[in-house]
Amino acid sequence: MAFVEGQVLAHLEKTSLPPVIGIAFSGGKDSTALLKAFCSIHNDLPCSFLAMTVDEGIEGYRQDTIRAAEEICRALDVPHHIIRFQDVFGHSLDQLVAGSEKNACTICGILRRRALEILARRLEIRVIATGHNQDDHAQTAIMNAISGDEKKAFSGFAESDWYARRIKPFARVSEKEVTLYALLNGFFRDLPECPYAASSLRGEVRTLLYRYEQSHPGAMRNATRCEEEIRHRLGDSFTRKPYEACVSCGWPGSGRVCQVCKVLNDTGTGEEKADHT
Amino acid sequence: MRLILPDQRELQLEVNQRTIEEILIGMSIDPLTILVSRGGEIIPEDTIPKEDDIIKIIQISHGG
Repeated sequence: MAFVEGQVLAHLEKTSLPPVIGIAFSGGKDSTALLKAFCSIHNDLPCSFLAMTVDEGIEGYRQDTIRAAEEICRALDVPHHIIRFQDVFGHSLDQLVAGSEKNACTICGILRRRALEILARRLEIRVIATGHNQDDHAQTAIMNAISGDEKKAFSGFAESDWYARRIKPFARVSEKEVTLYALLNGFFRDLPECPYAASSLRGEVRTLLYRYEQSHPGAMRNATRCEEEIRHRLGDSFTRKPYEACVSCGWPGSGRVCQVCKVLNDTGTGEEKADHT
Repeated sequence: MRLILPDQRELQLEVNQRTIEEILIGMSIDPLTILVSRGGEIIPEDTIPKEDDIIKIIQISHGG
């Protein structure tokens, strides 16, 4: 337990923090472990924190994790705020996926980030901690390499006055260590896995990496650190295209029409109730 | 050894001086994706269980 909490504290000490930060909290094991770690080390932190949950409206899955999230926040006495796809986009993820040819995880990832940003703006949160662990980072590094799009290695790391900064205190902690931490602290629940996860590229890469890690221990850690090192060494020289204001919703993005509006147009909804003022 | 799998199926297996990790790999279960419990306590996968042990396998669920 000391290792995990030490990793979180070491990560936070390397960055400047505002008076209050948000913890992206799904109710799953990673974000639960992160919230518990924050609670355990709160006396050593220069900031307070609150939990932020996005309810995508995934039938047979999200209700359980939301319930778990609410119970955990009550047990840990952490302020908890929830934002729903239904309220922001007018539809649940299930409805949006049904109307689109896009992969569910692609739709979910884009819209969930927007929902979290909207909630962050409402709460005036400028830094968000997520529970992404070392395995997640290794998978992302491989997925980025497979995509052949070098920009992806730098995606999400640009400075922005609009978007909240992300920090990932579990970047050096394996998924197994996170799970063990949650279990030993009595916060492990046998919750269902997202029903869309099995069909995702990430799922395939995860399986591949686990097989590789067995024969080559340390592979996941190395993949993570390799991409970090690339960002560190090339970050300043990598030319990022400046954000453009989306002609539809006004949010800054990488094109005339932002990814959120493209996804919503694809699903035939084309509406957004985003509050970006 | 009685082995309780994540789906609650129970198997009776002979240990034959194998570690839990070796047993799991033989069953095509990736040790990185699970935790092992004996008597309510988490134990390392390189443990050689006793023939009368009851071992529970806890699945690590992904995503969150």
